[in-house]
Amino acid sequence: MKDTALRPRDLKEALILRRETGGILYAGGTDLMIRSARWGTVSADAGRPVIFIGHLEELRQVATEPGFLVIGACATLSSLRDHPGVPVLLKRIIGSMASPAVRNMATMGGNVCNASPAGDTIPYLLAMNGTVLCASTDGQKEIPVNEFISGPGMTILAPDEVVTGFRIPRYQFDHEFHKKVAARRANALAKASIVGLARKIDHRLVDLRLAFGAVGPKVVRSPDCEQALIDSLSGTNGRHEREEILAAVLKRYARILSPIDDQRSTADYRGTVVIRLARHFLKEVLGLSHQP
Amino acid sequence: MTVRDDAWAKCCGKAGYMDELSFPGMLHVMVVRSPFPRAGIRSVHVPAVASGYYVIDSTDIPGRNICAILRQDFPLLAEDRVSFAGQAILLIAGPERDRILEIYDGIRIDYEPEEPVITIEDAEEGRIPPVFGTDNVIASIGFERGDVEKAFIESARVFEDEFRTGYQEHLYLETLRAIAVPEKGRMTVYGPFQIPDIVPVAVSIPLGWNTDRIRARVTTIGGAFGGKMETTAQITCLGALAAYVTQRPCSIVYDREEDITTTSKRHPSRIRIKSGVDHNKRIRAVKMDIDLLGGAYFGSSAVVLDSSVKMATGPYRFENVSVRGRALATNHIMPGATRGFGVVQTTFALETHMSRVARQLGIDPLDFRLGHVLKQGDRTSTDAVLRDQVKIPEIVKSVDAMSGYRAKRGRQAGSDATVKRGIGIALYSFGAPHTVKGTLRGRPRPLILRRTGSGDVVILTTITELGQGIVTVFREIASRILDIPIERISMDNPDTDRDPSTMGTGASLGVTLFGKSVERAARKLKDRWDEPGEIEVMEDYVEPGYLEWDDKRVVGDAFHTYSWGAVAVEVSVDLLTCEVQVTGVWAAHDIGRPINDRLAEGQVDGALVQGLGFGLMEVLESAEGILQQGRLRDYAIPTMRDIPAIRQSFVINPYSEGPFGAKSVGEIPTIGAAAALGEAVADALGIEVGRLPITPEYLLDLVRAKETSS
Amino acid sequence: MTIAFVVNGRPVVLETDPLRRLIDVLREDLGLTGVKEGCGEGECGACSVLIDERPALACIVAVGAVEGRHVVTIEGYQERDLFRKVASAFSETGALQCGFCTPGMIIAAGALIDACPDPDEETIREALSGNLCRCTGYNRIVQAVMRASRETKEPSSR
Repeated sequence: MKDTALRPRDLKEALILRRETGGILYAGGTDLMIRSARWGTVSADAGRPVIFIGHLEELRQVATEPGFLVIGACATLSSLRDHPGVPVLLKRIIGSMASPAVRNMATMGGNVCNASPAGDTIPYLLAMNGTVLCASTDGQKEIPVNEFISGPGMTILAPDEVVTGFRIPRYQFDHEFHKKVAARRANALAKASIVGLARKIDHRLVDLRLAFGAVGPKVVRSPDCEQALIDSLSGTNGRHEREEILAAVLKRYARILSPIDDQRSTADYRGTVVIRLARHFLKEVLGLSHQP
Repeated sequence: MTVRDDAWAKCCGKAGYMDELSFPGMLHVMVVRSPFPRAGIRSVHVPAVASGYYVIDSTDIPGRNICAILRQDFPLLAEDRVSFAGQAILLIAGPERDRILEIYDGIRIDYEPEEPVITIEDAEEGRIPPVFGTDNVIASIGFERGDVEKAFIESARVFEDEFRTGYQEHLYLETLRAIAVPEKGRMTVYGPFQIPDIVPVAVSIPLGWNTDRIRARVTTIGGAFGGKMETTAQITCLGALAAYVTQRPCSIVYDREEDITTTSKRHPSRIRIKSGVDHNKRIRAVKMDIDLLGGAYFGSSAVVLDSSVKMATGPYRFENVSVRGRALATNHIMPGATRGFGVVQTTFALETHMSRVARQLGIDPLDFRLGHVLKQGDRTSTDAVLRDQVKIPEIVKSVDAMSGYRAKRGRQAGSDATVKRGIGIALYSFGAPHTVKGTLRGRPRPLILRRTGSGDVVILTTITELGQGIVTVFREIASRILDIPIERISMDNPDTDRDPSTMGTGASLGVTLFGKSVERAARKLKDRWDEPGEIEVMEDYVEPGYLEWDDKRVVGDAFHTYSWGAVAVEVSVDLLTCEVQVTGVWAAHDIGRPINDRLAEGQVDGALVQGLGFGLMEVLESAEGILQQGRLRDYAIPTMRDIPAIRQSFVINPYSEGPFGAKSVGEIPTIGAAAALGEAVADALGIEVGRLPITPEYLLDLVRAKETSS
Repeated sequence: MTIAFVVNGRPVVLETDPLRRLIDVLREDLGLTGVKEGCGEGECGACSVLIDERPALACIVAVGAVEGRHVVTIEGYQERDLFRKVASAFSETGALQCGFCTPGMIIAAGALIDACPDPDEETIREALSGNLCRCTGYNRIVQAVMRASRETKEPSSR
């Protein structure tokens, strides 16, 4: 029997096998196994072997560096949820993913490399300016997450590379907002999602970020819109001006989004709901929540 | 209270399910299905297959190419055309699943697609060539009492509404399956069959054998909800055909997607209601037009429709009533028997309509409905005298006490500006058993109590345990009469060679009708207890002598009796996303006097949640004839987090003809949950709901319309 | 590929395709038919097993991924004292009907009680949210888990 799978002893061996075979990486397997299954049988893709990497200790660590959190690609979602160094917002997002048993197997590496527009951790990584750490026998690379993901289900990971982890700036926000919209309260794929982050100094908005999931081929973030909103709270803008700027920015967001109809929801619903959620979050950040 | 005898084995996963069975040399069978809802088949190309592998088509059928459900119009394997996506065309049998897949990938079928009939409107308009007969009408039934047109003319106000409901998949956790084993000129078929009695009949037709050469042996059933009744005809015939051709034991197990997309489910519906109200704000006349969306063949739609029509007016009395129902054919799989049997849809429509009317009249919707509830001595919509006491007022009182419905209704503040809360209530009834007098359905359905030489008692019947606990209930009934410990009474999964034909479990008959047979048989057995050796007592069911029924005119006692219920549902609605969360469920039922409270409560809990899933989240839509949510990741049923703790009560109202006063419980609690949910959403948002499921996508449309108009 | 792992406390060495689903290896090669298949895509929880003492779904794990690990199915789990407590609570509370979800439900419930001896209702509903049941409406399952957790605590509190 020809081996359909390889099981390296360490990362070094994994990188050599990846270079030699271009094999498909198996971290937690929770997406790969479903994608590859047909009528109760699972087969590898077009003669490429599977390389098991979920067991590699080098990839399962969570570490803090000065100013950064580094999450190993194969740390399970459950282990992240239990880890004291993982930010509360990320834990909340993980808690909204799949089910406890799936989270015991699934990894953040898998979630990102699957590159689904509905991938739950991707809006967070994007909003946090997180990067993807890639390794090959040639060395290491660090790629911003939205460059790494090139389209729905597609990444720029080279055939000889392995994602080893994610580097996330440790940065405090005053406002943290996350909402996943799904068919039910547990064990569901996102119809749409949003992550909002904002930081203020003396009532002045110094940082604002919004990332939208499942409303386009890739997770959406717009630095221009964010800057316009930051500017709206600076200077002498009164409430009325801020409201006008907010309305204009939300219109711009609506133009950027390109949601689709599918078996889980409609383009109309997805597009409308994320804008409603964004407005809710931004009104709070801009001090417009309550009628004067 | 008695603990069910299968509990421990089920905890261990070793309760005799089909997936614990294996036979030497057993082959796997895969079904090759049509990807098109409507197409001619030009040609079928099958690659050369290795020895030990088989590709089977309709020409391999030794008998007639028919899968008999209620009519013999459904080909077991398609010949020159397909009429729904997922229709079976070929079988592939062999020992290894991956080799079967290789064969599957080599098969080429050349189709000539035709325009399918998709919607109820397509079916009634007649622009597209019909799927069924000349007009797509699979069945129609209706009746009128009083003078409806005159009453409308005399009404002060007339209200009209249209309601839509979608498919609901049964979603038993164990998918459909069967193992057929050929031996010594006979065929034994194993599997989870709700009505094992239909298996020998169904299999005899394609094999061209007498029914006595076919034996059905029921394995422990992993959930059914109506989905393992008529649907088992097809899978057992396919398995038996493969076993006949290969002369090997053949196992056919649908995977989840195959089960969702190619087997029966709850009928989608369009229901139009018109009612006329007099100056005293009472309904004088009601006209209901019920259209069920059927499949490409006869299926069991006619039987479901029959129940929809006979139960259409729910627990209410209207002087002038017209009910007309049709089941219309489309190029889809045949929907069929599903818990709540055509009454979930009509109850949602009628409850919502009456509440809307009340709101427009400025009356409390619950008081308005209570004012129309049937009373003992009233005539039902089929013009029979209602003999039983109607305890709907007590039921509503109990639900109100548990839920605080009246205190909460219309005045619930949300937790913040983006959340609204609401509460709704639904009243309902369900008739069972069906009166069979004067119809062809009145065939014998006996069961046997056997006392063995050692003094133990065995119940022999083809009534099946679906998880509802019928085995425990039958044993309890026999134990109470015989006055022997329940442990000495047993009832195994049915075997059609061994057991008298009681025609399986369905239509909420188990306890009321056949539990009574057990009671009568036990009494006779007790009288003969002192006889030596083995004793057998056979009992058929007995209908109460006072029933009158005219099937042609749809007049008389449509049912022996009725169970009654009310459920209140509380929700919170997220105004940003229009997501609905169920925060409270309280129900009360009159099911006579329950035999086993714990089992009866279990039936209520499960049925309520099934009804809430239908109302809230279970989306299964056809796009051009293809069901879109075939995978379990897309067809969402409630998880434990979607449902709160449920509180419930029983209002005791012993039924003189039932065993120890029991009436039926299996289906009734499914009926009102979606209607109550709709009312709760209406209460929270001040909108009117007209469709199930109430998805956030649908609700967003309603909310935006309201935002725009205000 | 040769795969060595531990099932229900016993070492197992198999020469098999490492991409086979763990559920098939457990059911077909090892005869552990208490592992139920409800969906084949990790959505229903009927195939729940423990891998290194944490609940996992055998239908979406390749057997090659459990090399060197400890797998416990309901057949092994039923030797434990905790199983007896949970199964008794399920039986006596009426937390099962058709039973097809029950072995997976018990494994998930037991793992919860191990990790969190005194779970409140919300914790239970969260921990078992990946285990679908169509029969019970979950009401009595929640009650059974509470009952089992109380009974698990009793000996130590006396």
